[in-house]
Amino acid sequence: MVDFNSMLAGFQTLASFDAVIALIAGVVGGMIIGALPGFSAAMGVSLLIPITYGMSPVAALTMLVAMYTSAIYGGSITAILCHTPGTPASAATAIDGYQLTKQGRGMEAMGVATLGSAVGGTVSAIAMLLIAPALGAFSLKFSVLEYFLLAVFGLTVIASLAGDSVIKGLFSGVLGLVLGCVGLDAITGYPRMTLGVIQLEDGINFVPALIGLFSISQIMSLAYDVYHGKKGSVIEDEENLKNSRALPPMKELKTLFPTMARCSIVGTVVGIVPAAGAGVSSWICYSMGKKFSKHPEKFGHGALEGVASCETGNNAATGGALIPLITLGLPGSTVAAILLGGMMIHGLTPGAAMFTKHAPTTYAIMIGFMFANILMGLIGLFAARYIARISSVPMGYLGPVIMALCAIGTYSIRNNIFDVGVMVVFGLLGFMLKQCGFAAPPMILGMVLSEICENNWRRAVILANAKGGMLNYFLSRPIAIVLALLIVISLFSPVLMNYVNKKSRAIEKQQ
Amino acid sequence: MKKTQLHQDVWIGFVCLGICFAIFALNMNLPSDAAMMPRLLDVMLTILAVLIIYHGLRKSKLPADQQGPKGLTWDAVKIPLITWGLVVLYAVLFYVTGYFVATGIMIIVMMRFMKRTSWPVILAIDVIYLLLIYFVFVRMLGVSVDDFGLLSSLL
Repeated sequence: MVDFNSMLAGFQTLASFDAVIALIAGVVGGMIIGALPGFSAAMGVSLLIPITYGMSPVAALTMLVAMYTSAIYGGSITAILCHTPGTPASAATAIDGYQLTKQGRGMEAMGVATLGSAVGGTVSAIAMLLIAPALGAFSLKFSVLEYFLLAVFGLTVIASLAGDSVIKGLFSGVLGLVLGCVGLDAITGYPRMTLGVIQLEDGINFVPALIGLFSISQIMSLAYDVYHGKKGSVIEDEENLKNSRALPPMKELKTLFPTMARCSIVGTVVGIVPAAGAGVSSWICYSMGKKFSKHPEKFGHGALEGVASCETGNNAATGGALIPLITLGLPGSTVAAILLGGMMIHGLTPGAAMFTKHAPTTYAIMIGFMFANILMGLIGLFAARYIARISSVPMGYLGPVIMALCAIGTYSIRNNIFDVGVMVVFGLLGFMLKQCGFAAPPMILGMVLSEICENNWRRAVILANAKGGMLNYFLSRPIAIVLALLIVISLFSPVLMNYVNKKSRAIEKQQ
Repeated sequence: MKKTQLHQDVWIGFVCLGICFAIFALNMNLPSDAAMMPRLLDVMLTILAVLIIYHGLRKSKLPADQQGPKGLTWDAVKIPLITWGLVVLYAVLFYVTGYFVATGIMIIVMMRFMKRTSWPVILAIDVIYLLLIYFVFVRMLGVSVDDFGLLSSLL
């Protein structure tokens, strides 16, 4: 199923100067964003999208996926050295990582986290190269009804992104779908909810909304932290770290490879499942690592196996999440939803065309993702201790600079000041949503999937009318029936995932 | 008799209902084909808003310490709202003067607002940032952030 000619062409495209620079910038940028507490991979990727506008699709998407995977890894740097997880996915890493730092083995823990992240990410990239083309070829059998059901399947992820209140999360998601309807109706050409504003006839631009929801609202929260005495992170025992070794002894390192292998596979599979993601994967792998360990009693008191298992698991999940995204347009997490928007901006619509018309580009992105993980490992081994220092930069310096970057990033999309206004409005909306207990990620997912969902449904209705009604049409399409069943299963999967996640954490606490 | 204070979710739910009515009003005069999806979604939003109010009323009956965190207090939103006000001013200034003038001023004002006191550091960050953005965005990526606003009319 793997098209070696396209793979070779993709490799050649990736070898271009701009793609290599984009790859390095994405990896380093991701590590920095991930290391900053309060700054997530989602924020990093959303800030990066406007900068990629002038780039080729390969350079742009390679930069975005590199940012994604290395931001997840970057979170572990401060989790281990400062006991401040940079991202939610590295919360499990902080348990054993920080204990090791207190024992003077912080750099060894960092080395294991780096190696584990690189191995997990690379294995998931190889899995993507092997599985995605087959899944892409299968999607050739899809028609509008299947694409509609796929979009609905994607929307079922909302419940898992909802945060503390499922009802508020659903409200946020449905509101996102409504916001996605703003603009000219694709079929009748009638303006909907534009309030007479001409700029809104193209719809609400996704990127300014994204930057507003994630970045501006975060700057507002940072200002609150500054006024309430919250300071940057402090690296534990920095003098000792300078003299410690970068990796544990080979004998000890060898014992970690089976853990990394297991967690790479489990993490990739968890990543493929919509509604799971890197956070859930790290907890599942941590729990599994403990079960398989010869010394489970060391977990929680500074076990290198603990660091290896969750760090391998969370980075493996990033590659896993890209498989349904590229092949079926199914975003399984917040970052995946943002990446879907990024792909569409660069003219890449997920589905069969990714492995026919755009095959060299797709392979270039997938190979780029693999190299990003390897590069992340190499840079991480040498630069982790320096990157950790970034987390101690006062937020009072970072906030205004990020604000200025948001403004130029938003403006440069269409050279339009109206987009800056959209960003500002969505900034307030994002902050108020957070304060009122509504999660912002479902809104983004709703905005991304709204058009796909509505247009395919309406086309499906037209087709169904010509074929004797919707029920007949639906029953004549076995893939649609399977997808409908998957939607039902998916509606219950967050409950199951939540249960597994909570149980894993509860077991950790008990032991 | 002790008066029960309504949980903030009740008021949030009513705001949500207001949003539903606004969406309904905006889609009232649309042809049915174009209005189908927004109307369907509006019905869903209304149901969810009612559920938020219902849960808010249930939370109101609980003792104050079991009602969960309240994010909508004046103390929690005051500083962020002032920050947002600065962001709005920055956007207006961006429109009037162009990116570089507006950003130069905004970085200084915002850093001072965020309790940074070292003028040399503030000015150094400001100048380095503006130079970097000029070379990357204007020279390399060709983004025309300097061809409108006050600065463009002076140049």
